[in-house]
Amino acid sequence: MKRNLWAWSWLITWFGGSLIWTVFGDGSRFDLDRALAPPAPNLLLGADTYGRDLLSLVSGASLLSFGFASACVATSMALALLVAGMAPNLPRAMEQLLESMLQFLLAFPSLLFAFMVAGFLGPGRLTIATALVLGAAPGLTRTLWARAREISTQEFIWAARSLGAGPARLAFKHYLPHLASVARVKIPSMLAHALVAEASLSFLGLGFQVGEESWGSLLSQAKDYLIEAPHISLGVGLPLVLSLLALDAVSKPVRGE
Amino acid sequence: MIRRSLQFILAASAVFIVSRVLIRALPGDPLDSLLAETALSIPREKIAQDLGLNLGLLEQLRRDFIGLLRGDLGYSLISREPVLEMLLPRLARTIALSAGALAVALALGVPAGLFCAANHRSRTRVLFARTVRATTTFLVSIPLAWIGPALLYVFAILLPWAEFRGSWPLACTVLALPLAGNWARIVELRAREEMSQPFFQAALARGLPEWKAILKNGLAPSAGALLATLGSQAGALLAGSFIAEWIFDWPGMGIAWVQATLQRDYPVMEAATFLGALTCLAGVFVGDLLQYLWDPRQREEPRT
Repeated sequence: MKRNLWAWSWLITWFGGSLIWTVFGDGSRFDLDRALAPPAPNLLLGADTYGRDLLSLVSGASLLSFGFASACVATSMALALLVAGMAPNLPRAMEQLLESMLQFLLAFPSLLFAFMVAGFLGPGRLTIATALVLGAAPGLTRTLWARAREISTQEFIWAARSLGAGPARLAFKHYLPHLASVARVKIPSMLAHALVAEASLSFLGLGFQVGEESWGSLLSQAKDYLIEAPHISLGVGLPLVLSLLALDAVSKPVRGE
Repeated sequence: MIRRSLQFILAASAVFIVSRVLIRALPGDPLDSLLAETALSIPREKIAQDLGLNLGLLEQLRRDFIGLLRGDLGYSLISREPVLEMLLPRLARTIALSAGALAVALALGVPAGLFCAANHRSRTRVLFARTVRATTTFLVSIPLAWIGPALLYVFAILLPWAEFRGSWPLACTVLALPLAGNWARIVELRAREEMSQPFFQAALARGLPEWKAILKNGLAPSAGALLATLGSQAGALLAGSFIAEWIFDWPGMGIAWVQATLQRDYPVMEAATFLGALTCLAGVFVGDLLQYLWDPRQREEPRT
């Protein structure tokens, strides 16, 4: 906490401030007279195409993106923990089947899944949620699985097994507590990845649409008005980049750097 | 290696089947939802025949597989062009973009990583290595969807050096930035691992200059693993180039794919899914092959 003071203070200030601002402010007020207005003292980051105050817009969008990313990371963690905790206790054939499925999923980037899911669900929340989970869960599962293999040769597992513990009991009572501590340190970097993935997919038009503003859909608007209003790109992008750098810095001490 | 090839063929056919079954996974009657969402003027029976929906699943797969071998992937529902003829030039443009970006990324990332891996004694060099590392962190963290438009603004509007639409050098550079950061990190990590081995100290003790020792005893032994990593990044590169295409109006596969997805042009989507996934698999396969060719240790020990 001490070593990354700037990172923590940025994350807390920005997201905490956004929460207060979104609850008490009136950021989504349309005012076409000031459409694309550049930054001014009473309009710190300027205004967007519809004349909405960009600062309020970005803080609301960042909350939506952050909440969405957190939900996806939580789902991926639950899935990865479940698979990695159960796998070593399953019959050999089933374990191998799971492993080849994992290899298959690992070979493709999450964008490919996004395209496939968008093919039958259409663009939207569920599409990017699926893509984010399918992009994050396999990698984490592989890491946790490796750890679970190491644990599976230790005495306390043998003891539990010889006392007659079944696969589910072994997974939840003995593997999960160990794996959870490995998974926990991955949270900041996974959050950063999820934020980038959401931004990219919404940027391409597969995720959040104009109207429900997220970091990605705002970046897409910023790109469309790059010539007329470059301040949108700056105002939307800088908080995102700072948050990503902060998440990276926060994940460093646990990586041992 | 034979086993790897078989795995590759198996995975490719799995991808083919998945891409074909997609349309059948639509809730309800796929044709009804398709017609309702696209408002096509083509008669219902004609679409059913085009998509093979009037046949059984196995019969359709058999027909499509023969079509694939003949290079016939059907016709676009929107433009009525043959899908393969429509997608291949676009795939070529995407690959041109990715290859350019990869070249830039390696040219920047590998020397940067090796420089950071070396043990520096002079104060300026230590400071420089630290700057390089900080830049690396920055490059890895920034999203393409932001740095792309930002650099486009700087280099196409503020300093009019590049064209606003379809600038290949600019698109390559932008796509290369996060990759270069990533490569600097991986190369430094791998080279450091090898340099902690006794043979590196032995090379220095024999009087080899440090840069030569780093190349021969740091980079060379880890190059096989690095090549394999390179192959497995093909998918990420493809995904990145789709975003770069969107930013720089580079008419490649990414734009075609997004358009097909938004218009529900199923034959194009199926073919794009297959081609995209095939590119990822081919990347992994080629990476493994290069590692096998480069690193004799891979050949002597049988794989377990």
